[in-house]
Amino acid sequence: MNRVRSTLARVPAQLWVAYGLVLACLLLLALSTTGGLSPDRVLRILSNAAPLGVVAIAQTIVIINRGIDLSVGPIMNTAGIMVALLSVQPGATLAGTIAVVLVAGAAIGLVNGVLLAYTRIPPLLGTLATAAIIQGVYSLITRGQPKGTIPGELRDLADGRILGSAFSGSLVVWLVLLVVVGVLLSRTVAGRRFYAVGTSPRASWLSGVPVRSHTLVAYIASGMLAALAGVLLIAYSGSPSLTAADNYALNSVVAAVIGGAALSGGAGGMVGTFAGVAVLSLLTTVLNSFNVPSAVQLIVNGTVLIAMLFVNGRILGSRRR
Amino acid sequence: MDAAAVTCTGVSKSFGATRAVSGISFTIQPGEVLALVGENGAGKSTLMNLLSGAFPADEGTISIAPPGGGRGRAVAMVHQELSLFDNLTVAENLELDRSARGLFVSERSSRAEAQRVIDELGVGVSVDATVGDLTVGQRQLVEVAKAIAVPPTLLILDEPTSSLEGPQVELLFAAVRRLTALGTAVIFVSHRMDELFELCATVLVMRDGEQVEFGRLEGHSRTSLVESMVGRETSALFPDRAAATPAGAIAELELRDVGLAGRLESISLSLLPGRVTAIAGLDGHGQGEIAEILAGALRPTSGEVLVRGEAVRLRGPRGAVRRGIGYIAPNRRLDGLLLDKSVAANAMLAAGPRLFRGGVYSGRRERSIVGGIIADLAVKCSSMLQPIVELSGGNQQKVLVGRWLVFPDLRVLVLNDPTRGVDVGSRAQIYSAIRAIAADGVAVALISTDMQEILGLSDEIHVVYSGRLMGALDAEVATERAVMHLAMGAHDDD
Amino acid sequence: MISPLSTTAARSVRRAGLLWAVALVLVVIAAIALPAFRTPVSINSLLAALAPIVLISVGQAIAVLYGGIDLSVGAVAGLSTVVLSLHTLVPGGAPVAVLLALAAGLLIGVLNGAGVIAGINPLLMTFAMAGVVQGLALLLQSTPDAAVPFDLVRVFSVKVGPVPVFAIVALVALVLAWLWMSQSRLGRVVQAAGYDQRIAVRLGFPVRRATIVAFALAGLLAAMGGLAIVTRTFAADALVGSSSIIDSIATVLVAGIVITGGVGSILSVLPAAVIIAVVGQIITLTGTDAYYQTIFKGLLLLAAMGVYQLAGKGIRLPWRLRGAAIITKEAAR
Repeated sequence: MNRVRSTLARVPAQLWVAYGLVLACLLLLALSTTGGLSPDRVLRILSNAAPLGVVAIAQTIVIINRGIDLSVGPIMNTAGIMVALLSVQPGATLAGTIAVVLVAGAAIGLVNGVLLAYTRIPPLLGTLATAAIIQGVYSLITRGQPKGTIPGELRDLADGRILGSAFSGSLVVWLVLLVVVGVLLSRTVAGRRFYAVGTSPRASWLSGVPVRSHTLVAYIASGMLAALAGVLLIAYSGSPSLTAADNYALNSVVAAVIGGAALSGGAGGMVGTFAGVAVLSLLTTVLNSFNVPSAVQLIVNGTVLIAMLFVNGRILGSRRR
Repeated sequence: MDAAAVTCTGVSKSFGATRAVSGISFTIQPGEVLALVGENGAGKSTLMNLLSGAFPADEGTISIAPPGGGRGRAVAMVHQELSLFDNLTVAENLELDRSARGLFVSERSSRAEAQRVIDELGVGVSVDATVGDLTVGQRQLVEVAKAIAVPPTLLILDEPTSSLEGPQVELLFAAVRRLTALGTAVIFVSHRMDELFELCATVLVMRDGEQVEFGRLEGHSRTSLVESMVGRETSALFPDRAAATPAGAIAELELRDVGLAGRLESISLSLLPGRVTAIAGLDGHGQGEIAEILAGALRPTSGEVLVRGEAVRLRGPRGAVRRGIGYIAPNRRLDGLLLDKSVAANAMLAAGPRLFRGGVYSGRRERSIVGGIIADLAVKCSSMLQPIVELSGGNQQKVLVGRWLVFPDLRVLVLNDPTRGVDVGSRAQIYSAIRAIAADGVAVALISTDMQEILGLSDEIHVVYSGRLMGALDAEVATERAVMHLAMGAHDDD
Repeated sequence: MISPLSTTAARSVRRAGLLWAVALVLVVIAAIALPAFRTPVSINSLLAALAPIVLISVGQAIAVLYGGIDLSVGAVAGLSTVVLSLHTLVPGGAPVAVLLALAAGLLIGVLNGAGVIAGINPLLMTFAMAGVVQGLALLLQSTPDAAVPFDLVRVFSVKVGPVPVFAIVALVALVLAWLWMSQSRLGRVVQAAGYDQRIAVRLGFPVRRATIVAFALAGLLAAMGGLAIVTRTFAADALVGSSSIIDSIATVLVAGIVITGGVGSILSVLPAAVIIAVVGQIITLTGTDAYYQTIFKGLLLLAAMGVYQLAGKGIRLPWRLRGAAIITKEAAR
């Protein structure tokens, strides 16, 4: 019993706030007139949030390592475009297509990783630059008109129920990844070292931690997960787009930060990021169900974010003193 | 009788549960120089911060007379850590510090004022030089110039000579004498006994936050002063030296004719198992670079590094650690600790991969290993999951030593300034731990500017000056004077 | 020589001069290689495009020199175009609307600064603010009876020779900002805080005031940039500034201003903006795909960072990632 109590005491305060917000949103949802609150509805909302969920996992890993990856949005778009293009090639299989897309994402991540691990370019600017380059490249290649179609089986997989349960394929993928990455980050020496590198790269380096390798792996993972998120997104939307994922980069940062990650590194985790994604998607759904115009939604999102950041800052600050 | 410049009565200050200073009472007359002595962690920094107004005292009163002439500050402090902006010029740094009025800076008067101050001090730098281009000693003097531009009531100098060479020290002393003639009171903090006895009239000795004595300095000898600081005979602080290493032992780590462009030249030294080899010298003369080369954090531009007789290229600290070379860096807040993380996480940082089979972390194994060093080193913490930032400096440093105690198959341990900001009790424990590590066959390198530590803990002392090794001394018979002689650039045969 | 400028500022004039040389070479090459470049139409469009980007980039430069960044500049520019179009509903008409637009930019900047003081990372704070401002702008844009005040805008689009009035405004703003940064006490505090905030706090500088002022100026200049855009587009568009963010960051980087703060000069923003605008023009005129622009900008960002890192010497960049929290004196010990 004491162990449980002391573990609870060590839960970062941000998590309580984040989950508190989730509960508040669920409450508001229950009160709204359109649809009310049912497990089915919640699962559907979460299922639609799966693309953001997966890319937020990517962003969390990078942020824990004291980085940031603003190229995840364009990587998601690239994935969607590639799926559409490759699926119409003769002899293409869904598995093969997805494999190629994931490798492409990892390759872009590798470029990011090499750039940031071997030069002193700040991650913010480095990934902003690669984002612009990636955007330019696929805009160029597709000439503004992405070709191809999304295979029906992908949509079925994503939307379809797994084993007759209420969980869709996308949702299962997201949840499984949350668990796998969460275990890797907390139960392996290498995973825990991401937190060390993010807390103090220099102290870690001097103690023999392979800081560069960790940075490389973080960005490769980020690229691959972003590509996967892009696949989930296009399965959901049905048509490739040059801009569909443009907001995902910053939104994934927001989700991670709501969940307790700090841009200075060394903090954050899967439990928190899940809450962050849930807050963002539930908030949108709540606002939609109350027929709030999209312009006002922007204002609400921004204000909620500022409030959360302020609260997080206070919590972080009071702990340090 | 003029009113005292500075009066402290019953001053106390605590930070959370730690009582940093208590019951401090003393006075300083105008024109008097007070030596503030005490071991690292004795509370000197806190007292200086209280005097300069960084934070208020919990109990007691501090009164400082207003500056004569109505201009300037009551208290000016020259920190050990420089507060200069490297990207600006000397004149611009001095200007920033002036609490002058007006929205815009008058460039002409600003530069003229800066020139006046620099000329008066006598340091030969151009006011238009970018601070980043100056040597450490020059920067330190610019920092002093900043503080004395307008004579304050009280000038606090915290280890002002740590990076100054002979002639520069003279400039500083001349400036201090000028100021005292004008009525400024001075508090002088230094580990250099010679300087204290030359410059100061009174002394305040602090130990573990308390005032041990306050009075005239003349009654003291160097030894009696040190004993007053430490509270016990110096020899009791340091464990006995080990027996001599058997002849023919291979150096665990050796530098042969190592050079680093612009910083080091033909450095040759060997670290033998079981011995503590110290590298002494004035701050900034290359010992930090030598430490980093030994630790694999810096690559020499010439010469060879040999591990157990074999010339190698240490590829960064990772390569060094793989070969069993551990490093404790000087600034633990910046380079050693994972501040927000737990004691356990900090302790396991280096040894993690070696202690967990298959890379899988086990909470139980961590608890037993970390519990072991917490007990062995008497680390005071509420639990091993406590964030290390909450521990005192001494306990933090113990955990850093513990980081290498738990590391399997350690061959070399390089220590750079291992007891800065550490209280006496913790120092004794750390020294015992270091001797025990050496007794296990580890070759220890000790880089420090603390003379007592160098003389008391090491077996062999190499002295560096301006990037070159000036000589080696047997620690059993070496004296502070002999070491300082070499550290100031005199040659072995003088 | 005793000059009225601080030494660091005087040296920055020389560095800006080097950048001008690069810009000039670029212009000459373009003029020789592309006849289309020399036409009055081309020159006009170049100058017209310069004004808003210079204004917004100067604002961004101030935020970056402080050690932060401002992702809300695009949204603020968009907002000011919309506020201007509300002149029909405001007593006093168009001139008052102009003042309102500027005041809005200033206020948003102050709020950004307040958030940063409260401990929020500037990146996240300004990003969140951008969302709020954009939402506000979109909301206001749908107001009935809103229209761009054509008379006033025509006054603003007057040209002196080939140079649009707003280009001159931008130039004046740049020089004033540069002088303020290098010669005023608060400006120097901004730069000092950008270089090493811990030392600035330890020395008792008015860092909080400097934070507010830095972001307020960024907001004000972004609003001015929005007004400059209206003189070109004659339209109120909340989203008009969305590309300005990356443009302003690219300009700031090419100008040699270090992203971590404290190092660099506003004076170099002008030649940097010229370089970026000219190359953009070259890409358009040679019929190369507009998509190459984005790729180019990305590569330019990387190249600029690479070049300045190789060239940087003697200036020690702090290793630690800059945290946004203002450290109290107690914690700084």
